[in-house]
Amino acid sequence: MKPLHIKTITLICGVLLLAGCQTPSATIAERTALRESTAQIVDSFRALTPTAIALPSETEAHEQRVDMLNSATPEKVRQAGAEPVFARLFTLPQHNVSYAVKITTSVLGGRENPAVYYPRMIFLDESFNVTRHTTQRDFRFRGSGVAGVISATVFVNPQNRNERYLVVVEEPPKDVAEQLSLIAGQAPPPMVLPLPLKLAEMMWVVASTSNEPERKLRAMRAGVYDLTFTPYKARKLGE
Amino acid sequence: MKKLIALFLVALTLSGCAAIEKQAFNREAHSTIRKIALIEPRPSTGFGISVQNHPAMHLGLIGAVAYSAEMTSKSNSLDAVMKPLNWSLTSTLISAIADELTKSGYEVVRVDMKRDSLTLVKDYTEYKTSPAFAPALSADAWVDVATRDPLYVANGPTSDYVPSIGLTVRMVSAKDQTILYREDFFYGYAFPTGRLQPVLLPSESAFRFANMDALTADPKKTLEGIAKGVPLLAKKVAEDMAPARR
Repeated sequence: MKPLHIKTITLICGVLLLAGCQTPSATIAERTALRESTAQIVDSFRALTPTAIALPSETEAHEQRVDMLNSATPEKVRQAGAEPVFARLFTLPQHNVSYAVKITTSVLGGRENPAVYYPRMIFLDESFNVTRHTTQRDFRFRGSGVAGVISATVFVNPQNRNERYLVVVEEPPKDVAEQLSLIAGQAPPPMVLPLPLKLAEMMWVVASTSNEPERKLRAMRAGVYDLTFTPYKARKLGE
Repeated sequence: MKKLIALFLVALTLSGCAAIEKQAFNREAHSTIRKIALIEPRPSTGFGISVQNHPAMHLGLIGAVAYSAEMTSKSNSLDAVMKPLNWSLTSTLISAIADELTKSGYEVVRVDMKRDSLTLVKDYTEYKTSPAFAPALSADAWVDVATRDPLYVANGPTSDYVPSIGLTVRMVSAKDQTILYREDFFYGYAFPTGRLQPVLLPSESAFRFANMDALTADPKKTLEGIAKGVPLLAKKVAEDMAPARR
């Protein structure tokens, strides 16, 4: 086998470095556009394809990931006076216990173009009438991973027994205020180098933890979210 | 020394985050809670400095000693210029939380156990017999607040100093000490947190200081950077624990 020339190695390294710098935001935009064009548009929540949710037991949680960016069968629902929005319908667990429904969406787009899908959870009765829905006040921005997540928790208690369905749609864009991203405060972890290279490690730390400009977190029209349905049982202190 | 202990506890808290569990407040399930006893944290002792990702921390024990000496010196410098303002994080924060909880519809009694620990109460058994805890016995739930000294944190030796408040809040039922709510909050600097997943509240860019000289030049502005976090935190805490509509 022919040994690689130094120029070839340099070229490969250069390509790899550049590939590493590219943020996935363009890909997200492209994938969103593709889903926009292929989505089936329906007139009402009732016409959406339901996904049944069942709790495994009175103590175990059920987790459901929805990847709207890679969905083969995206659906949108028409809404009065606005563009159709991506929507997903779930049949709620019919259970004797109270349970929590937690939705979490990750900030995507890397550190350069942080953006998040801001969901709205809408609860419906068996006639598809809206009983309640989340608002921005229910969501919290949390530190997690590179750029953070937003999450909200809603409980389904005996007084909500009439609720049969959950629809997840995009929070109306006009209501999504741009938020100050906190990722400016964080930096990549220090490079790990063998012990004799302490000086190089120190130089890397200083260079990699310099100030980053503040960036705004943008709202995306589609994204990836996780739903967790957890039976509610308060633990005693020390348990 | 106390500041170093506080910083150590911050690190310890973050490193042990794998075992931390959140509990959102199920307000409909606990709609009978009307009266809350707010258990006051250990009083804050001053202001501190922390520089993350410091190169000295990569130089073993000698580096750690040098780092501690530098942080102590910087913390003392900051504290010296802030002391004349006579501002306490804990008293301001507890008053703000009590006000917000009252506004949301609870009756709130404040309980000062004069405790020495920075962490949440592990076991209330001893507390129950203390005369200082007596007002809490008639409450429906006990809200425990843990915080540490306010800090200015730089992400690295050449980064700006950013304000930082860390807060953990837990509500337990007075009847049987079931955990009704537990959450962690960071205002300002976002420490890498693993599975802790604290609620993050940003500080304004006006309160980023390029170096120690800038940080200590105008103590009122430096204080404002920290103090602005108090009402933000209190509001979020009260929103999370708001009672069901009656």
